Amino acid sequence: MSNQTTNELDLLRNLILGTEKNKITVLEKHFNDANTKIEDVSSVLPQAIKLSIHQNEQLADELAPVVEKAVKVSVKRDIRIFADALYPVIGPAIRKSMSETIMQMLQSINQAIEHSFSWKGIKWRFEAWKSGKTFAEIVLKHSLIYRVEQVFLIQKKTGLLLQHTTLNEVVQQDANLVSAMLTAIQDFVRDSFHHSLDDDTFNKTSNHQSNTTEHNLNQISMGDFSIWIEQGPDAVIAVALKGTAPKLLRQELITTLENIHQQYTTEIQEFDGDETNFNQVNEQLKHCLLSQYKSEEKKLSWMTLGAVLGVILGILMWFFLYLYKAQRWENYVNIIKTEPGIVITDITHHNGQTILHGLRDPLAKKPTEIASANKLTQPYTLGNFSFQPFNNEQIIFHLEPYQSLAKTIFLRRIKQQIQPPKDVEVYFNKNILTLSGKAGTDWISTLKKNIHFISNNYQSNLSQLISTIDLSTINTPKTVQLKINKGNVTATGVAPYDWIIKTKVTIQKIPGITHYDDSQLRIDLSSLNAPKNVRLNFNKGILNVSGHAHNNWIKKLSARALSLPGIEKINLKNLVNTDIRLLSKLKQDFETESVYYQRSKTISSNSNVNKDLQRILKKLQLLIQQAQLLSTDLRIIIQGFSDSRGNYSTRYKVSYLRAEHVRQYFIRQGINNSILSSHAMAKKNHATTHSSEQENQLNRRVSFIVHFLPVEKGK
Amino acid sequence: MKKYKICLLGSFAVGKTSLVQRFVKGIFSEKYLTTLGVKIDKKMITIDNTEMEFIIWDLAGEDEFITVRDSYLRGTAAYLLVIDGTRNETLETAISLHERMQQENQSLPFVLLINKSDLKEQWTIDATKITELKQSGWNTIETSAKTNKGVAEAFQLLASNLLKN
Ligand SMILES: Nc1nc2c(ncn2[C@@H]2O[C@H](COP(=O)(O)OP(=O)(O)OP(=O)(O)O)[C@@H](O)[C@H]2O)c(=O)[nH]1
Ligand SMILES: [Mg+2]
Repeated sequence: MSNQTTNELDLLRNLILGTEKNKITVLEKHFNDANTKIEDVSSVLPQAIKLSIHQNEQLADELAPVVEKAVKVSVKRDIRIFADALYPVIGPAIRKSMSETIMQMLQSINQAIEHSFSWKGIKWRFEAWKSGKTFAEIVLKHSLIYRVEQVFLIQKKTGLLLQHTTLNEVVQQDANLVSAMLTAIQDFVRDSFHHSLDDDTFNKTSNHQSNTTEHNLNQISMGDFSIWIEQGPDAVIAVALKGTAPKLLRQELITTLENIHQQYTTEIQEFDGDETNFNQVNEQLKHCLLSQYKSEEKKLSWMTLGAVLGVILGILMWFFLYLYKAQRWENYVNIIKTEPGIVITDITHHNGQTILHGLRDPLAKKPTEIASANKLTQPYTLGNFSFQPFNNEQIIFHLEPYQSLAKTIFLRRIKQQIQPPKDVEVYFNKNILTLSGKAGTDWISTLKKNIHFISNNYQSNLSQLISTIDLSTINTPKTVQLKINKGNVTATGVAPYDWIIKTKVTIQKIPGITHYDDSQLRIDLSSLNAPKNVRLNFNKGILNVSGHAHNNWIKKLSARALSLPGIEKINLKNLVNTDIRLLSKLKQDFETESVYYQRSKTISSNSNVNKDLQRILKKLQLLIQQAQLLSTDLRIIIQGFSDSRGNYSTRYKVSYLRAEHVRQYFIRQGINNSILSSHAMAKKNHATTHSSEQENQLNRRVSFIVHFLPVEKGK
Repeated sequence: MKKYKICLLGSFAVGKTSLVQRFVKGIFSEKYLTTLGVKIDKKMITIDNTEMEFIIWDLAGEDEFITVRDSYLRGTAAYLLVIDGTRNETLETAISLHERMQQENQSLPFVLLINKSDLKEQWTIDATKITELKQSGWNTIETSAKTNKGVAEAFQLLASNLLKN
């Protein structure tokens, strides 16, 4: 194309497109300018990236290598920037993974101690249950003994104190000075030993990081006291504590420091010396004021206390028993040494046995008796506890027999020989063997003959012995009193006949009796059981009985009385049998009764008759009863009478009917038929004309006669 | 109330510890006990009704064997350079220490203390050099820990420089 045509074309373009062309030129210029391009892209880049991320992941893929490279470069240049940036993130991340691991570890500790049933274990288990914590946590807790007293938050760069907190009870130093000094010390240590650490051959591999690896002083200790320091990028946390803190505390410091950094990085970096900006941090620092007390560990546990008390008690007990045993033994030896008839010459010990050598009179007490009397071998008991200080096998006696002249033993021996009666006392009165009291004449005279042989050189005195008549052989009944007056014996009271007779003979044989009088002794008639209205009198073989008595007693009397020795005859003349007397009285009474009838009236309709009959029946019954008591048979004769009217035959008939009427009535009332007989008493020649009506009335009757039959022999 | 880390820098035995003792506790001792590492004290200062707390780091003086540690200087808000008027070489040490501080932070306030002014007749210090320094903007003050001359003023001057900053 020629230049001309080009120009012409341009001209044409200008004509047609005039303004547009100018615009295009401007656009062209805009596009070709690098500066304006950058501006354009930068204005849309954030939006573009945002959109791209939403649509697909290509952009992220494309950017990844770039970012990776950038990070590498940055780290190479200065790792500190990156470390500082990562610091708040890395801690929590690591901690999370750690806590998982620790949880597992706690779990396994838990299982390890699960089956330990120590007292402490049980106690902690209870505590865990109570507090809702795991057992392992409680175990961990009990292994701590420390107390954090102060917490310092220090700006790393200046060493100025950002915040400080302390336990109330702790004496405070100037926290600002401490803070600065701590920083200085750290700096000093780091600067002084940094070099040598880096030169360490083992660290060679990490040499390229030497400028970034911080060697920090993280603990200062002085005896029980220590300061723990934890470094952050901008701040340092330091705690002053007493005792031995667990690793857990370090973890707490790290966590606190990380939290503070997260929240206050800029504030710390731009700290201008005004502490009040960090007042809120104080609360967080307070979390580090940890403490754990092992108070119950320090205390004497109940078990130990119990054991110690037990041992002390045991020792006391042993000591007490030892004293007790010694005391008993000493008592025993003293007693046995003073025991008459026993002489201890030596005490030896052999094979756990104690042997007492010496002499013993056979009449002396046995050593074992003394031992038991002295409670030597008796066990000592206190509640369930029993302790036997000595047993019989432990104590052996080698005692030879001998005759002791000790007074007690001598008395024992002499008593054995002379057998004194119970009223006689044998004793020493100022070395004189004395016998006093009453004794039989025989016994005394025998003693007198032999006393020289028996008294064994002791002087003797028998003058106080009173010779007595010994009546013990005659078996005096209690009812008899014997009075002795110089050989005269008088018996009074009541005694069985037998005894009276026997004594008359035997008493004469008793030595010392010259005369025996039993005239006042009455024979014992108590076995006759005389009623109180009866008097008995025994005289010369005849028993006189007087007074009143029932038939029963009288019947038995003769047999009983005659069975008593000495009674030959019984005189009953003066004795009244009250039963017989009553019988005759009842007979008389019955015989006075009559039943009166009215004239011509039928017998049964007579009401008066019935009344009479009832009364008479009662009397008859009494009479029969009494007769039976006396074993007397009786017959009741019922006599019927009639008045003088009518002829004999009628009168006879009437009188018979009347008697029969009464008899039938008695039978009906249960009276034995065999004792009743009825008789008609009508007179043949009755002087009717002379009889008044009064007489007639009296004759219209039934009367009674009682006969006692003699007792049939053999009944 | 704000707190500030203040450092005392200078050659050995120029009287750093003595000045702090005088300022903080009001006492002075002829005895020379060289400071090992650092000794820290605290003092309240009031300037124009503003209270401030100085945490004073009294650093061991420089000698042939010991150089002041960088770490001690970190975070310093202001510093006092101390020289001994009777020892001219202490000024050189002070200047080199100042240069070290300037490398870290150009704008830190400081004051030069020419100590032992009670021994002025024995002074060997190069007066022209001092004048030069003054002209280049240094604040200088003659002090005596022994007589208490200029001690409080030196700290006050530093404090007001700090506030101006
Ligand atoms: N006459 C006089 N003596 C002073 C003065 N200040 C300090 N001294 C004495 O100088 C000696 C050193 O003083 P220090 O305060 O210990 O010096 P320093 O600078 O702390 O020394 P280092 O700690 O070793 O660096 C001591 O004997 C002081 O008594 C002063 O103003 N006048
Ligand atoms: Mg000093």
